[in-house]
Amino acid sequence: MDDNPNVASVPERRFSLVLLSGLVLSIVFAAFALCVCVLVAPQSPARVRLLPYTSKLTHPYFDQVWTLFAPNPPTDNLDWIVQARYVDPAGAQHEGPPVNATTQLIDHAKHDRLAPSRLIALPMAFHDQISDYMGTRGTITGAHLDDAAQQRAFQALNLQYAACFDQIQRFASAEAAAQYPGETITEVRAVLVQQEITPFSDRYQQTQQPWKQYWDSGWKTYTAGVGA
Amino acid sequence: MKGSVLLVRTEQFFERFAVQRHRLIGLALLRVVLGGSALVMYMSDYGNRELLWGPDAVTSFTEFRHTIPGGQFSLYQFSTSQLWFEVVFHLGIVVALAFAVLGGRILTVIHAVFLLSLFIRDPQLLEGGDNLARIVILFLPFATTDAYFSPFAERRRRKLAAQSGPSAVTLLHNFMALFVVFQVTVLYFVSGVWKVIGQTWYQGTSMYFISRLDQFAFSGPLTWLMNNAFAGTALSYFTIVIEVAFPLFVVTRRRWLRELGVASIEALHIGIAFGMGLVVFAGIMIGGDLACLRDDDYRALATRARTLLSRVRAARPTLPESVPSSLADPSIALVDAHEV
Repeated sequence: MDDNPNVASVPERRFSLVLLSGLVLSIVFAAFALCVCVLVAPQSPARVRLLPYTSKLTHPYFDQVWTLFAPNPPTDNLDWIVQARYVDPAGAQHEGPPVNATTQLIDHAKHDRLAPSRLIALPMAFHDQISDYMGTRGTITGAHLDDAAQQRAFQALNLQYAACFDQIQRFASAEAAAQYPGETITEVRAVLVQQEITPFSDRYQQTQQPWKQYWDSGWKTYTAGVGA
Repeated sequence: MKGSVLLVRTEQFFERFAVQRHRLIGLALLRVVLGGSALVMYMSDYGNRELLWGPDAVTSFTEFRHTIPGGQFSLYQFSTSQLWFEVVFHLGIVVALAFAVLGGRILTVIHAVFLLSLFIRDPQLLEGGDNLARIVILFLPFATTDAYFSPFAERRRRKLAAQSGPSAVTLLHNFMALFVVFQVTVLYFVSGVWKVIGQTWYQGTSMYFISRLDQFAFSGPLTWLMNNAFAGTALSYFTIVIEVAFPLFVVTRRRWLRELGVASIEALHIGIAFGMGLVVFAGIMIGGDLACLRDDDYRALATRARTLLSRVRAARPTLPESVPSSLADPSIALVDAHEV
């Protein structure tokens, strides 16, 4: 038995550190597991009550959504049509034909199958946001507000989505610049069109569902230099 | 007295978990996959980098700075200059490559900073795989990820072998491996549960709709196959079963079941990569799955592969050593064998 306290204390201190570390890590793991489970769980009264507390720990570093084509995958295709107005060197104004920007980006992604481009994520993100915007707009319309209140609600909604509209305008500007290199582009327009996927029961029929206009940005001022 | 016994037992429990580092091979594979996926992301849109992440990208610089979540930062936020953007972007490529090849704690931290900086620059570009990468990269600096598949792996393993007794660092590594496995498991289980409540999934038509979404219709044969009611239903149900059962595959003591589960989900991801064009997503998910296998599983797989290889070699016709080289003509041996 060694009476020197320094020698005896070495293994004890190490084991204590292991114990302390283990307890701390166990608590952290339990808290993380609980918070993540609350975050990813389907909506329920319990989740609504817990989420404000658990999201303080998970947001922003551990934010996560794992629905992955669930509960149901989309049943329609949404494409962005971009159109541009430009002035030729003689000063005459022209309006270009509508061009399907989404199809172009999909073809671009398919060009390199092993490393597809992420450009296609942009129109997908935009149509998700526009779908939300149109949904809220529909709710406001159906709320039977008086004209002034409805106008105020629409203005607040447009303000909320101002960043999204700006991004779409910049995206359309970049697309127009690629379509008309060297021209003086003045205005751009982005239109979101929608086509339902043929139902499974009609899959062998040759006719396709028609494209419908879902949202129109209207003519907006061209933003020069996007992505340049 | 009872309290001290409990404390000792707790300590003994943690000691067992603090002696040996687990999942070293799986975490090393995860590191290689995460670094490789980041490289693919950087390089696949190298020509579009200005449009996606530059100072004049689709998401304007003002909007980008305005929307950075509290407590986070991006290296791209510090300057609107083109030079700064180019330096940060290209350094990100170099760091991703170094992280994939070398690993190590310092490189993991640096790669995490560059990767998260890019993700924060425009979160709209992110997909499910990036979400997983964003989370697990925060655990990896506290784990040992360079004990395999790295030029310094042997040196690292020698150092680990020289350590004796339980240590807090080993415990930390094992807990980080647990965090990664838990995160991957939650991902699949939740995704599977959400699918169970989806009408098109239990009707077996979800894969038909997915294969007809323009942005995911990368494979003509898959689109054609999903016209078949049986094939579509089988694939939908297979996806649900594999995802919901994934936690069981991870915790089971039966190695063959664990390997079967991981192999099944890898088959699913390979299908997603080539059928739907989600290469980076599938790659990162495969990396996550590989972290769920134990070191013993990899050793058993390697032993099986070696046995199979030696059997294949043994099955090859060989000439006796005593035969003179002038007679060792493969065509003669073939004729003899045929006649027999």
